[in-house]
Amino acid sequence: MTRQPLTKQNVLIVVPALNEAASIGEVLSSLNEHGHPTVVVSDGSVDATADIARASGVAVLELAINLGVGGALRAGFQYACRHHYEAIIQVDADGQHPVSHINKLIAAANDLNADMVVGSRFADGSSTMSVSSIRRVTMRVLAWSASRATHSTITDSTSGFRLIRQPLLGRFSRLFASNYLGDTYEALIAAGRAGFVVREISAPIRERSVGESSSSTAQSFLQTIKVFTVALLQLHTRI
Amino acid sequence: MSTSVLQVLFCAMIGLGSTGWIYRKARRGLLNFRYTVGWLLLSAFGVMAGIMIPVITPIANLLAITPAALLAIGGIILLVVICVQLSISISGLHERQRRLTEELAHLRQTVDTIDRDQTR
Repeated sequence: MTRQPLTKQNVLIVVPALNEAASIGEVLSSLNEHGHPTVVVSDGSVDATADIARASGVAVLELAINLGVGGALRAGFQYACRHHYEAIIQVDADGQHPVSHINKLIAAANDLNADMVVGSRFADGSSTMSVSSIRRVTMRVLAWSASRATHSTITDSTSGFRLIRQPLLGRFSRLFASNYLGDTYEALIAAGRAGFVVREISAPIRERSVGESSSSTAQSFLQTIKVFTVALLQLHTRI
Repeated sequence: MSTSVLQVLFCAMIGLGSTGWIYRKARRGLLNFRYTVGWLLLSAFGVMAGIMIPVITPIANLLAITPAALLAIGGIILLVVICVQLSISISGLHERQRRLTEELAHLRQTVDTIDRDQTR
């Protein structure tokens, strides 16, 4: 299938943000410098996240209530479809995803003719990210399961740095899980099992510049078991 | 007073009590018509349950359990079905709430864009 090549202009950057006033300004100015069209989805933020985003000149979707990352992303996907973008790239608002890697994702999607390209923190083995042993084991199990579903080597199934292209983007704009890991792991499983081409490239992340991760290890472990069961029993969102 | 009469009275009292409770909730507008009817029917089942004991006794004997246990099992199954039905309703409401929130955000963004264009 011949598809429209992805360029900086037809790929929308979607930044889901919940109370990221401290870091979002820097992320957006970096995106603006590189000339990427961007939409920020403020997921029920109660701080100045949306105001800062508006002031930086990007489009802002302000969700009246908190829907979770998956909910925020689906709103972003809908925005991309309504404005005829060919793909989106999901970028975190905490500054962990280097903007310089965005072009790598676009190039990989074009070269590999992929519907989804995941930026992996672990693909090249040089990650300095510190994770607990429980988390490391669960991440490996999830990666193994995602690799099976996508028929591709996935080392980082929970990476929030990824490119999603039409027609998969259109499907996700209608059906996209909003539960924990629904936007990352479950989305991979759904895409893989629906026959879409999923590929992974190396994209090391930076340490969070401000704040800390919102979930504790115990919470993450329990939620991971839940989402793994969802995948095992094939209860994931059908796209 | 025999045990079976006591069981009839006990079931009828619980049924009547829950009927009154549901009716008060409905009067205060806390339950809509659909759920009021559902719960009143369930309360009526409670009232009738005691009277049904002589009717269900042969079935209970066949299953080698007491009529009261059979009623309890029936009640539990009914409640589980209702809980599942309510869970389905809640899941549907979550999805509708999500769509409304998304649409609101899109509309607000459109209004923002129009405002910005007009002020230029």
